[in-house]
Amino acid sequence: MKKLTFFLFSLIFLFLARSAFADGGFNLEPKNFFLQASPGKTIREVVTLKNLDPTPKTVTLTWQGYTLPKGGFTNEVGLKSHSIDFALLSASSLEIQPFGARTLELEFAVPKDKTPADYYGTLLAKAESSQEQSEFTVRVLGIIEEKIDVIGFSDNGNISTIKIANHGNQTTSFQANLKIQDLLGRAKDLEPIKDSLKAAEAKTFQVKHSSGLPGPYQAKISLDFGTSGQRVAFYSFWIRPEVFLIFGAIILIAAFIFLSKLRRRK
Amino acid sequence: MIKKIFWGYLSISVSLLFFAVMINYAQADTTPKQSDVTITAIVPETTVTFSGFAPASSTVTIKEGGSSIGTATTSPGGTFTKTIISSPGLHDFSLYYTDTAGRTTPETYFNGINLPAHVDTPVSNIHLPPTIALSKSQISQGESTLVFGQGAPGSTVHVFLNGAEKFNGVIGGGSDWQFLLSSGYSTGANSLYAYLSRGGLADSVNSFTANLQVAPCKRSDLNCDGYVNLTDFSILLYWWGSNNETADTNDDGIVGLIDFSIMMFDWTGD
Repeated sequence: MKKLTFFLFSLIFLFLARSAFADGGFNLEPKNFFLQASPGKTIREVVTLKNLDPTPKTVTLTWQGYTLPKGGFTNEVGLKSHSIDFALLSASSLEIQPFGARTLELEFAVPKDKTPADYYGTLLAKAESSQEQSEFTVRVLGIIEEKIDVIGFSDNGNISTIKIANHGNQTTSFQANLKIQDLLGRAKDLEPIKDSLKAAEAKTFQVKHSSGLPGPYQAKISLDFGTSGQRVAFYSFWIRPEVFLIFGAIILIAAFIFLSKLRRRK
Repeated sequence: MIKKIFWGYLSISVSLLFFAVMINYAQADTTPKQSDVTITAIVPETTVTFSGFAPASSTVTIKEGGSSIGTATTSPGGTFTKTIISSPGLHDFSLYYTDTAGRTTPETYFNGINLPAHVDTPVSNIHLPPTIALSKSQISQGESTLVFGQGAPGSTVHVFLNGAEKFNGVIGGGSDWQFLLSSGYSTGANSLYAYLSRGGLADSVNSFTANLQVAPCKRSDLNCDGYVNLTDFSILLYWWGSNNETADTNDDGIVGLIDFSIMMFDWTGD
């Protein structure tokens, strides 16, 4: 009985091992493109797909426009207007032999009336349970507009949460320097944030800091972005206002009592 | 009299006409004129053109700052050309390719390329390295493995085993190269890499390194030819009764009947 159980378990293990091996997947290279073009021009690029399995694989290929998770963009219109809607794939599916490789050509025919800006899209390749993707940025040359803004700020006493959005027309890198100042004028520089945002993208960043005393605070956020862009934003916030008010009230009452006693003595 | 009146009338009319024209001209001159002038000019883009040699039908990828900025498919003759729109100033580019079997090469770097505005800058005669692979990456002493890959047709491939050149040959029109490695390696870890040379061009950078693990000879294979046969039996008989390390398979300090029994068990013939 023991031997039979062992044999059955061995069989299950072998089948599991085989299915895991069979799902080795495939590779899609390169993973990200940054292409530049003038309106009216056509660019052709090639990606390579490699089957990593000992069995043939059919890979389905689709083009996906600019997408960002909910809350990760400034507005729907901005997202849509920066989407690559001029991509053409040479095939919608490819049969790849075991351990073989195939290429796929992508054509980007930039319309003549396309506004100068960055446009984004993704090539999705799916086979069975595995998926690979290649990100594309097509920069249509023309007037550059770099505009990074702070669109939200909050602080819970230990963590500053900042939402930064790109209102420009191209991917822009930035550095945000944070300074918080308490009621007594004591300032604290927080760790700077360095990142880049795609056009119409909005990201939330969190910066940890040591907990401050209860009271009103002011945050100064200095943004340096793109080639020479600069912006400064100020935000006021409270740290544990209820504690500050209770202590404030106690101090006031104590002062009032003290003054009253002082008058009576006189 | 009539003549005088006529001449007087004529001179007054001409004078009035002259004044009217002058006033009109003066008025027209003081009024600011606005007109749209459209000047259409084609300003050449700042471009860089990469050209060179790689295996036929391979995909050459050009990179800058971690992103792929262009790809090109090589011709059947193993040449490629790609023009990319860029910006004026200094640039660091790198190139690699993926061959028809999906193997890749290390990147070849072109740092500090200065691109003047509105002209094309050629980066030519790029000689990309070969790809390299092994049919078996683990062998036993005495066995052989096929070393193969692809490279630009017409280039000479130089293959190095543990730092010493082991093979060289001109790559044919199919872009494939190969050779059978059957000796010269050592027990344990071995490394192989290759580069390409071509008349009039700089040598390519080295390929990726292929690692070959060589296990000691099979048990009882005393001459390490991959077989346990009569030759090994002869060697065993020669060392019979001695403490020869090679023939003493069970390490009991003496070559004897037990070693012979093991040899019979491992017998492969041929």
